[in-house]
Amino acid sequence: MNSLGGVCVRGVLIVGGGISGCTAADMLAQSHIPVYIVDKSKNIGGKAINYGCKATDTCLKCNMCLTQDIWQNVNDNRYIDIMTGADVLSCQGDKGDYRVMIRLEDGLEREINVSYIIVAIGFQPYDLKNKGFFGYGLYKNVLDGLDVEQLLKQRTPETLPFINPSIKKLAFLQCVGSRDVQDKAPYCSKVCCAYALRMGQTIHHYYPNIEITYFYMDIQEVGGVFSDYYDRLVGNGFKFVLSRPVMVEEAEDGGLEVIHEDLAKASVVREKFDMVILSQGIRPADDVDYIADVFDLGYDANGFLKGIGRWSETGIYLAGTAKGPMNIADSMADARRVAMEIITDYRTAAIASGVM
Amino acid sequence: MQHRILIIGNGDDAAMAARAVVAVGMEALVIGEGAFPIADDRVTYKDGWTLKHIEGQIGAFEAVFDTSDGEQTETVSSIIAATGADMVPCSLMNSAGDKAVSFKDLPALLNAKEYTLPMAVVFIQDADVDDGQWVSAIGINLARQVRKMWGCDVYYLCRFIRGSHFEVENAYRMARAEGVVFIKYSKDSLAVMPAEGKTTVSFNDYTQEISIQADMVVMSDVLKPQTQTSSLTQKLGIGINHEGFFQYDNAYYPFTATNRRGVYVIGACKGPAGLNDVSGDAAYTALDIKIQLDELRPIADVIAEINLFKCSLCLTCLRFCPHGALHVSDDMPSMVVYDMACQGCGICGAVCPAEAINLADNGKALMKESSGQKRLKVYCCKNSAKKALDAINMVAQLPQGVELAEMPCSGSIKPEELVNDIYAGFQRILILACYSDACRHVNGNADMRRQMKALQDTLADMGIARDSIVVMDVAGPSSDDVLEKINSAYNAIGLEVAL
Repeated sequence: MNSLGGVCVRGVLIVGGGISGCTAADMLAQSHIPVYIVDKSKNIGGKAINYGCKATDTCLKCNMCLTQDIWQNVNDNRYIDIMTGADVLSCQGDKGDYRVMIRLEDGLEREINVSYIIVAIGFQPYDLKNKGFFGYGLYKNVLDGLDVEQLLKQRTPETLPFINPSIKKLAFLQCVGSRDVQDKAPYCSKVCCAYALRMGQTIHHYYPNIEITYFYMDIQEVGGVFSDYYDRLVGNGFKFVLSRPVMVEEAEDGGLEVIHEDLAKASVVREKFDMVILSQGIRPADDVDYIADVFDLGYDANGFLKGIGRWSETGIYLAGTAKGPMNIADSMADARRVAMEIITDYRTAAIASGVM
Repeated sequence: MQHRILIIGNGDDAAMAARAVVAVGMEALVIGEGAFPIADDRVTYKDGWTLKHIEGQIGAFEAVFDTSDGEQTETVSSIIAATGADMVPCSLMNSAGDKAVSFKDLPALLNAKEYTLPMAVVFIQDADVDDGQWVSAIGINLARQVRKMWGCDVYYLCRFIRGSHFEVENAYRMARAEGVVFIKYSKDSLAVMPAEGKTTVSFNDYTQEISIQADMVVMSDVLKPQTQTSSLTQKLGIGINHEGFFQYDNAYYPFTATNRRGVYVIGACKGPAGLNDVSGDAAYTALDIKIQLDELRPIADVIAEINLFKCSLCLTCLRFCPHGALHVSDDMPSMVVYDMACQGCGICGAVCPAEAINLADNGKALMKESSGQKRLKVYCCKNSAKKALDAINMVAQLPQGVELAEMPCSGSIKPEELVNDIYAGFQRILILACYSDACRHVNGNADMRRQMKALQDTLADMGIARDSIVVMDVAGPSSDDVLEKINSAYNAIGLEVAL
């Protein structure tokens, strides 16, 4: 319990301590609204805290720098109570008065009483085991987008930690697990073109002699001023191949071969690369069904969460990639919007009770 | 208190902004040319008013308008620019003959009572620029309508389907199922030519040269900034990007808030990227405004202070301030700071030739003092280098001769401070600034670089090595990079001493 304009108020429970959850928490805490964050992992920060800056000699607007304030503000904030390694067990009550049972890391249970709930459980990256034929986990030079994001964080002035001198040709495979009807993901994951094109530029900046090829279906908007993005990259010497590869195999000399259809030759070719990066897509979080059950939420056509009824009636809000693919900036904007709706509600209530 | 928000523009974007503003209980004053789509007693629409200039800050902007009755002044709490953009036909339309229409004009043809049914209709996207998602969304739906209503062959030529919104991806799938033929053409291979009552569209589809005889060609429009955009950015004191749309191309401005607190931009006036979720942006903006106005407080802990006796009204600070936070006092011959607008970057203090402006401690604070010999002094921007160092907690382990200072923006560095450092015995000064386009204060890093160049020249004349001052770009998430840059700057001094 805490005060807002003199009224004792129940707080807000945020399920998930990733960038969306923490952005909302930061915003609410700034308005002195008590917040509880429950995260099932050991630390808050979700996936975004592990992403790296992709600047070359200039900023590429991956927006990672915007997240840094958030982590700092959320830790050691007197309005924010963080429970890591914790699970939500049940949720009872109604708007303005929810009682949520939480199992803490030490196994003890704790009931908290909140007015609003924000479900910000994020996403899980596409499981590359389903596409074993791309050799992820089998060949050491097949990486995925998340691997590279995390390795970018360890960049130094001269080197990127995952590139060694033997790498001369590098391929990005786009839409791995996205826009894929067989794999029950008929949607675009929205972020992969943006991160892969940025990563390519970062790698090119450090190692201009590495030849970079993208296998793509369509290049999506990258954000910001984008209309000349593709042309600029072609100017860098990047190759774009309109083709969906079918397999990655190890070559006899230890390199990798990407097997794909060459449209101009109208035949299947094997092209050699030294490293392959799989741009894996965004899938609903692994515990999406459990969370939907606890908070009585629905699904959209692709299995992401969707609210039932109007938010303002239930007081249970969704934020960020729990709702579908979103980039960092969109997730933050979405979380801020949710937080602001809640803040406005609190203030209206405070005015109604005559204290503000 | 009732907040009144000025909305500039009279199109759909402005209407969405007005709806969002009244939805959170504020009033809207809308200015534009021509009719306004919505009527609401909380929305005042002034047809024909144009903005002349604004004064003031969030909570109380004085906006001066040109009207048919002369000049009018209104006080508004906040401002939203939602002027939209111009849709212009793509350049191929000029050579395409009279069988070509633009996406914008097709609906009128579809609704017409009488027309000759075409046999083949070709849609073309991405002819001039790589079109955005909004173009794919409009084009695919038009193609489906044509296929359904006219039952003719429909070809859809594009370079990329921008289907990152699920509705577009879904429409794309449905269109293919309904018989629209999608073909991707390679860049620069497209030509559209009138020929014997038809139009020949030829292109390379990555496998071969193809040409289609079309009865009608439908081409996407290109979004261009409105002519008033650049003068409006100057009147409002906000950024413009290199394509001429509102908002700086800067990592800190992906949202609707601009560099001037209380001034927002939404919709197509931000360029194609502004079109992704206009209603969401409008709701977001209205809430953001309301929350700030209800409890208006400064955003910076420390703001600039002006010494009235030193200020000579040269207006240098006014030109350099990225946040429109300075103005000429009404009753004193001096500049004054808007307390709600100042973001404490210290750029004004660094550029003031009269030394009339300061932040407390000139915006600097020591993060680590050097113990023993003073060798390297590092200035860390608190938006990047400081965050990177805080994240790894390694400051204490840096060599003893290193002194670290934090600063609100690299633009806050005064040449005099560095000269003092050199006099104090530091052999080298390392400035860790943010990458270009990633400065929280727009151009603080670029201004600093210019100043440092001049300082290095002066030092060189005095016989002090240019590399006594080193500037490097860093980012908050790259801690190892920052540490390595500090260590290598330090070790380089060691080498010189050894020689």
